[in-house]
Amino acid sequence: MSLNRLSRRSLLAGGVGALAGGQLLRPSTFRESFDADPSVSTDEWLLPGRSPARRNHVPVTGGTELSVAWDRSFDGGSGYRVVVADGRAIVPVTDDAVYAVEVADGSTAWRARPRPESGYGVALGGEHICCSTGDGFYVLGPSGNSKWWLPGYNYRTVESAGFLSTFLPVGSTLFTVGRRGLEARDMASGLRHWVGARPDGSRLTTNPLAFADGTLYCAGGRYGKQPFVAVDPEDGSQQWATAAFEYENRQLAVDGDTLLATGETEAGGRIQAFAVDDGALRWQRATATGLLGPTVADGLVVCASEGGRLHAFDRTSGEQRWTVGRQAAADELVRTDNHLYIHSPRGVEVRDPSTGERRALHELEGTDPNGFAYASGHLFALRDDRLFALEVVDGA
Amino acid sequence: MPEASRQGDVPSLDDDDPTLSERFGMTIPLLLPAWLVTYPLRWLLDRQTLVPSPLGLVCWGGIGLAFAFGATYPDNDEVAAVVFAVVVAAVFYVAEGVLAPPFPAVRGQPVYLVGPLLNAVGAFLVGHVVAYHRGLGTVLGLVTGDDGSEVADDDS
Repeated sequence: MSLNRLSRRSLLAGGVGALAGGQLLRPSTFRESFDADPSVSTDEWLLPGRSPARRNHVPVTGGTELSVAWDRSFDGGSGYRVVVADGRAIVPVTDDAVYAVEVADGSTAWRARPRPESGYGVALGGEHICCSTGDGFYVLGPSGNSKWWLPGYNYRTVESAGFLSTFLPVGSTLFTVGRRGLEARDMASGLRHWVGARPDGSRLTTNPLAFADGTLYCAGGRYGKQPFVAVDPEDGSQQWATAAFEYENRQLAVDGDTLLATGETEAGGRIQAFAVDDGALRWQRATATGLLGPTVADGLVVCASEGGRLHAFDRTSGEQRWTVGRQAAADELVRTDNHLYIHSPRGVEVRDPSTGERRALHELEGTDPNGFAYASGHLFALRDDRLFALEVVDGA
Repeated sequence: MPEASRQGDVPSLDDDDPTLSERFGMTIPLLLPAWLVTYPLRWLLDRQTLVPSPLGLVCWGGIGLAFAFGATYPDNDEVAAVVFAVVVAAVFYVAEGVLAPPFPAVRGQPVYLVGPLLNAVGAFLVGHVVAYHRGLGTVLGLVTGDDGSEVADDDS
């Protein structure tokens, strides 16, 4: 039917109706309500550091007796990180795909290839899988089906060692850094909740590093002099900021009323403790080489250093409890209530967290430790192009 | 009489009607007034950047071309065509910019495009009424009661 055959009233009514319909069906209609509940079960290891508090601690006893339940290799480049939930281990393999592996036997549950160069870390939140590539940020469903993606959000990472985290999933909310600065998005729809702002209304350009007890903790810039910032996750407003500190990279972990910052400086490494209420500096210690992400439990902070050493500090006073020399060759750490597990080029060591004394060493093939997680009664060690599942005999 | 001399002619399309390719050629100049209108609108809506993103350029170019092509009906004069292109662009950007985000950055969710598509259709219809059917007099006519008639001959 020609438009000329329609009455003016019809055309105008149709136009206004279509415009009204366009407003009613705005994309934000499909967004779910804000939710940043970080609670996880002891069977889940949702991201490097396990939970958004990034303490690398699992509240189980653990054990010294380890046995390889299974191992499997991947095609393509080496895996980067491993996370575990719902009985499956998720591994992004560089230049290949994202794999979901059954915890029970190592078989492949599914394989997803959002883009061939996937491999910049993986994390889980709100029953979704986040993975970043060189050409965008992808969110997959629990069966590996593609849900949505953000073009232009390239090279986002959730790593906490050697990088500065640029996204952090918490419950069904994704915190990340966009073109306008820190932002929160709905995990299910990908739509934005808010863009962060400083008290003066200016943009809050800072990276989400940790989350605990309803507060998001951030730091700006991988290099240079930047403050640590606490942000209200409901609306993105800045709650407080510390003084600016020089770091070359930095990680955060939250334990009770203490915010712990570790990283590398021009002179070596540093660990700082701040009050979570107002960002007041409680103590700080310097080390000879840069410190990696800490494990925190029972008032004890244990960090591996880039020099392959282990350092243990009292969480309250900052007093150094013990140090293990270069022979530790430590790379990644996992803490249970009674044991400290270290993923090193030789394999997996078990140490006494209160003294640093070695209790056991389980040697593994491969030399390049890439990912480490403890979930479902197993330690998962990703090294070179292989994933090892080590059964832990609890209490042994 | 001129009318009598044409009585034996076989009815045919007007030979002066522009061809499809000519209509495409006519759409390009119509983008200029549409751009001149939407530029300050986009600036007012805080969507203006010095260097438009490639996606924004493609969206604007595609929408602008589609509407400007619609403005080149064979039996419409140039002024009405320009009004059409300008009104449609203005209505579209106001509807999208003031009331809803136009195209969210999220990809892989086609349902998000339903709202923007309805806005485009609405802008087209409103622009068509304003440009080709006595302009804003249409709206006033609806208020005064002088409206609702068939308009097939209004623009002839």
